[in-house]
Amino acid sequence: MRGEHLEKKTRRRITGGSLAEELRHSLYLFGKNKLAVIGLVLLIAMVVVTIFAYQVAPYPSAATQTNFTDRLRSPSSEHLMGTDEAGRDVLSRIIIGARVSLPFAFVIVLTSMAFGMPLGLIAGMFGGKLDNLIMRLADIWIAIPQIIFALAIAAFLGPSLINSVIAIAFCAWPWHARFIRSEVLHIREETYVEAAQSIGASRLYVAVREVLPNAFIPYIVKITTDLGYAILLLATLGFLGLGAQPPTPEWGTIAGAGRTFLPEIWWISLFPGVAIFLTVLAFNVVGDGLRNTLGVEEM
Amino acid sequence: MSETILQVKDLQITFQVFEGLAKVIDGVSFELKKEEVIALVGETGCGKSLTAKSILGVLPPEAKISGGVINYRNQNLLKLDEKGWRRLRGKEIAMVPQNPMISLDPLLTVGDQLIDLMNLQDQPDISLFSYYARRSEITKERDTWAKATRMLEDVALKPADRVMNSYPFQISGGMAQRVCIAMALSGNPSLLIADEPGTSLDVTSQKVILDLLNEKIRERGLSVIFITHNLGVARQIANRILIMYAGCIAEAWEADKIFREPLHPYSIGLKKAIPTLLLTKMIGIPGRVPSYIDPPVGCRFNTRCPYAMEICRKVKPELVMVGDGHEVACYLYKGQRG
Repeated sequence: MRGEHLEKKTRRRITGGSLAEELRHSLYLFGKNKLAVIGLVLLIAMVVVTIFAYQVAPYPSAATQTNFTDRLRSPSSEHLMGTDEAGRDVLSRIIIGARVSLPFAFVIVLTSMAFGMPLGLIAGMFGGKLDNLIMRLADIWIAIPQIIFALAIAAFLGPSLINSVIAIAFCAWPWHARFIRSEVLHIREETYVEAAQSIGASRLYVAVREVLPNAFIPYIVKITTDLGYAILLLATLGFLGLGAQPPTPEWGTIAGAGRTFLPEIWWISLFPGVAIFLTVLAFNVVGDGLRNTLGVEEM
Repeated sequence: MSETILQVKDLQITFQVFEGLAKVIDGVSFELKKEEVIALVGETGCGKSLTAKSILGVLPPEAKISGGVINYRNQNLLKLDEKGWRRLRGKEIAMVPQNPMISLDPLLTVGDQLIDLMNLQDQPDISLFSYYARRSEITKERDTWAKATRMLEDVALKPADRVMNSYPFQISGGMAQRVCIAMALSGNPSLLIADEPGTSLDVTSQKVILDLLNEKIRERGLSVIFITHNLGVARQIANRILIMYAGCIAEAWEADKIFREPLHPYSIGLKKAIPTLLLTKMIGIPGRVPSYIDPPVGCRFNTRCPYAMEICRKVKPELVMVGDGHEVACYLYKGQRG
């Protein structure tokens, strides 16, 4: 992994490295990992489908409107993934459900970043008692299984989509703080930081301008895989009835609602499950690909 | 040439490590006069860089200054807080780092780093938030880009504009070293610490860098602490050479004289170790720098010294004056005082 990074560096020096050249080289490195390319294509397709959900979905009104004459139809050419207990087209609900899962996954990750990143930076840069306080708090947080913690908070706040987002972000910040702190601890020791300090850079300057941007490179990889994990957690809460409430078409909620009709009527639960599976997998392989492209060491 | 600018007295630095307490710097004392260039010479691991870093207050966190005084213009640096240090760094005391390629932030262009440095140098108390909100304005107001370009041209970097827009990995080691010199000089310091500049470069570039540095030192009348393991380089650039061994100063004299007639057995060994074209066999000093956890009692060189006597293993020799400005810490010359 490190070798690729160095190879990239030397190459850049030789070519002089225009931005287009850079980009082409990055794409070349990313392209070497075929699985990551497939994942990326899948993700791009998902984002496009999410944006144009109402245009793409065969029955756009099916997200909420019931049609009891067509209830529990098995997959056919008319309803590719069948219909659910209220006669709604499952495929349309999954497509429109992507509008919940994908954006809210971003919200979850951004929120936990907003808390975890500054705390990790402070802990790593200033050390001492503050570091101890923040990190021990994080340790306590992490000691509680994340799903159970999120479940408890979601149950406490009352089941709704927003509350489940808050619950998950609330549980995830220590991981971000830990990650950033560990990066900060070794970037702080880099020669360029010492060099900057020796000509008068303040601690805050070092933290914001040098340490944080350099920590961000490996952080991007973590964020990517975290997005997949956020989708999974969000769906879990929905599945257990503590997340988005019906009739909101959220993947976990759809799968949860179909649970009572298993195993004969399998299509209501299976297809949202497949959607979750593919999305999480796509985020993970793309994360792996980015790891190679950015030259981040395996963690 | 008379005013003393820096005075280091009986400096002691210890490291708390797993194996125990390492007494790395053990009583280093020297003085630096205005416009004087001194060279700290010694092999790797003898505490040269550490001494220099203590003058800038950038010691690694495990290191502790357990004794001594560092006076800069009659101000004891060891009593400074972080704010006080920052007022000195860059503007009074600056450092040219050892390895230029890893001493520049890889994610910022050379220009960005220079401009931030020059903008912030004169206003250390500005909040970083308001600085970044007005960064381009401040740069325009103060004409920093042009100043930074001139700075780079001053260290013979051409074309300066292209270097300004380059990332550190896009320029060569020699160019990066020049950038580092420009950065160190940008705050008009009076004292420059040069930590083996050019060591990571090939001999030709190293010569060019040393010439450049020499020129800048004379031009600006800087006082310099030059760190090197190369006696030849030290002689070229310094007025006075301090030979360091295992955290102590072994010998100090004017550069030309110490080169001609070194007295301390370690200095003699160092001089002999300089490779010449005529010698077919390299001569070294047998053994290695001792462990700092459990250093030899008495003179720290006694394990490698061919002349080691009884007393060398018992009492640490003091640095004594043996002639015109010539100081040696060795019992062989104890009787020759004056």
